[in-house]
Amino acid sequence: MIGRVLTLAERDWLAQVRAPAFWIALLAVQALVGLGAFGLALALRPPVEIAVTLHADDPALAAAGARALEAARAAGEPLTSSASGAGLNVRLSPGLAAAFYGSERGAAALRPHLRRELERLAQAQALERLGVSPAEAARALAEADAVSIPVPPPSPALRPERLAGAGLAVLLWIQLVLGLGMLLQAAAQERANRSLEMLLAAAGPAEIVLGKLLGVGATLATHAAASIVVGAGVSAGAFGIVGVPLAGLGAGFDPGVAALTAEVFAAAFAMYGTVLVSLGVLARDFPSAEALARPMFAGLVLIAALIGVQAVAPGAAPDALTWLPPLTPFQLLLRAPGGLDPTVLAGGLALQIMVAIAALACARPLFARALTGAWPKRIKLYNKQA
Amino acid sequence: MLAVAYAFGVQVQGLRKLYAGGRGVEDVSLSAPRGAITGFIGANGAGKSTTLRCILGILAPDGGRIALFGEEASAAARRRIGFIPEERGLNPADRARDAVAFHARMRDVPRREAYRRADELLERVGLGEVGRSRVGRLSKGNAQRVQLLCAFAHDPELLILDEPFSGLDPMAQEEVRDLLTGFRDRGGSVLLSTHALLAAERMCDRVTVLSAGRTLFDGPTARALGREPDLPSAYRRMLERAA
Repeated sequence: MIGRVLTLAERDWLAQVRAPAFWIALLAVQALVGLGAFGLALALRPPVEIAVTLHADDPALAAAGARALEAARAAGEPLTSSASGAGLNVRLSPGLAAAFYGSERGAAALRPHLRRELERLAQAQALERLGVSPAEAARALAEADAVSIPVPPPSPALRPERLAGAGLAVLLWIQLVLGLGMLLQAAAQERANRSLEMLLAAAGPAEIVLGKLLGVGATLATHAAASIVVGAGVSAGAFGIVGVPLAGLGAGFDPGVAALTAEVFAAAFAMYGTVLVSLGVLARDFPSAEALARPMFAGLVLIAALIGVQAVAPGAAPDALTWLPPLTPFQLLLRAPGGLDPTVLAGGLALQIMVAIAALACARPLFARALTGAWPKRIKLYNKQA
Repeated sequence: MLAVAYAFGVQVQGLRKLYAGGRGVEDVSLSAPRGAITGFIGANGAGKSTTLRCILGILAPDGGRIALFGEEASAAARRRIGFIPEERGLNPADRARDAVAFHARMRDVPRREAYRRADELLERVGLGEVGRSRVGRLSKGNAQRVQLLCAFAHDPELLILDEPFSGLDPMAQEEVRDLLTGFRDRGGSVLLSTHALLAAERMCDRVTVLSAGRTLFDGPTARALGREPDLPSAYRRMLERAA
């Protein structure tokens, strides 16, 4: 049995990797990876401090400007730019007016601090005019400044592990949509090419389903491996051109989460794949195969929406959804980076495998129906010795 | 081909297989001995394809007995059968030699041996040069030849062919006839389902006549003819008698 499954898988794998579309898709992915890597490298490029030049006719104004600059730097304001040589000129007038020339980003960062210092200067000058000593005026103004503004804690939706989980779920979603499309084509082609009966004379329905699953799985793995190898090269090149060191980018890599993700991916592909191949064989041609698979893809669109909701509003969906088979892999991945209970993981994987086995059992009458156009009067297992 | 002691490639007794719509076969019996071509004759819907699918293990019979090579039908025995269905086709993306070797490998022939046999068969029918071409790029006649070779690729002992002449040009039909007679002469069994009664009369040593899911006749062609001048007349007489 294993030999026939592997022979079938090899044929389907070769059919996919020999097709120009496979390599075109791979190149397209690499082009996107390259663009993304350039974008990331540009975003990660160490920023350069903006050169700020203060122009003031009055020493008090110059001092206020210097204090504003210090306060802005102390507050971590973005007085930096990705463009080298960025500068900002600030002209302070005796009428306590300020004019900015140059970096808009720097002007926006400096403006509130400058306004505050100019207001303090105006208040101090007013107090002096009223006869208050400069020391007392400074003390009074310092007390008036002692107002603490509470900083809100980060929203749970923005917790890094939550975002990582959503990222993994989206990655699974993309892989499933790609893989299921290929599987549907592989299943429908046997009937469309009128080769199903000849195949069934040599192999049982379960062998055919498993062969198709392995063949397309191997194609996806080839695609992923090529993408990782070529993508790493393209990314390294992009980072090198922009001048950003690659070191440290893999710091967030967790082998445990990677292994868990691989397990969930494999189980999800087996579950969705067996259902799709078993149903796909009923299709006479590719258009009818697409029509048959439409509900499944519509379900995947709903799942994508659910992933989005859970990424921004954790707790919006009950944990019980984990035990609804179409959602199981996504729910597991959403929780994976934050730590997943091993019993929940084992239960989720077992549930997916059970659905795959049930779909394999259903493949038998479905294949008979595909071939004869009629349901057997009594559904019996055939080719059971195969 | 193995030199194994058995008299019949396939023997079917009282086969029954019903579908929900009421079609299928009620009581089919037939025998295809070694070194003989057995014609399997019947109108559309008589149950020929259902019988062949039961013999091949694609469908499970509801009743009756199927023996292959003198033993109860088994998965291992079924791998000694070469089959050409009525609805024929190959994956157009496959190369010709890959397609032939694939069908051999699906019947447990090792990879290297499967490709050796594929190349040999393609050479034998004059398709050696197109072995590496994709099936979709072959002419219709050549694609049909490749399809036929798929049934021979694993060196079968029993050939089951469902309408092997349909859609073939006269030259290809002649080639099929030569292939089948050569196979029979080497001791193989052939079960040939066909509507072409005159061709069956010329080629077949035995005939099995089927009507409405039941066997009307199973025996030598000469006995089927009786006093009738040809097989079409004898077939009509059998149908009239059954009615």
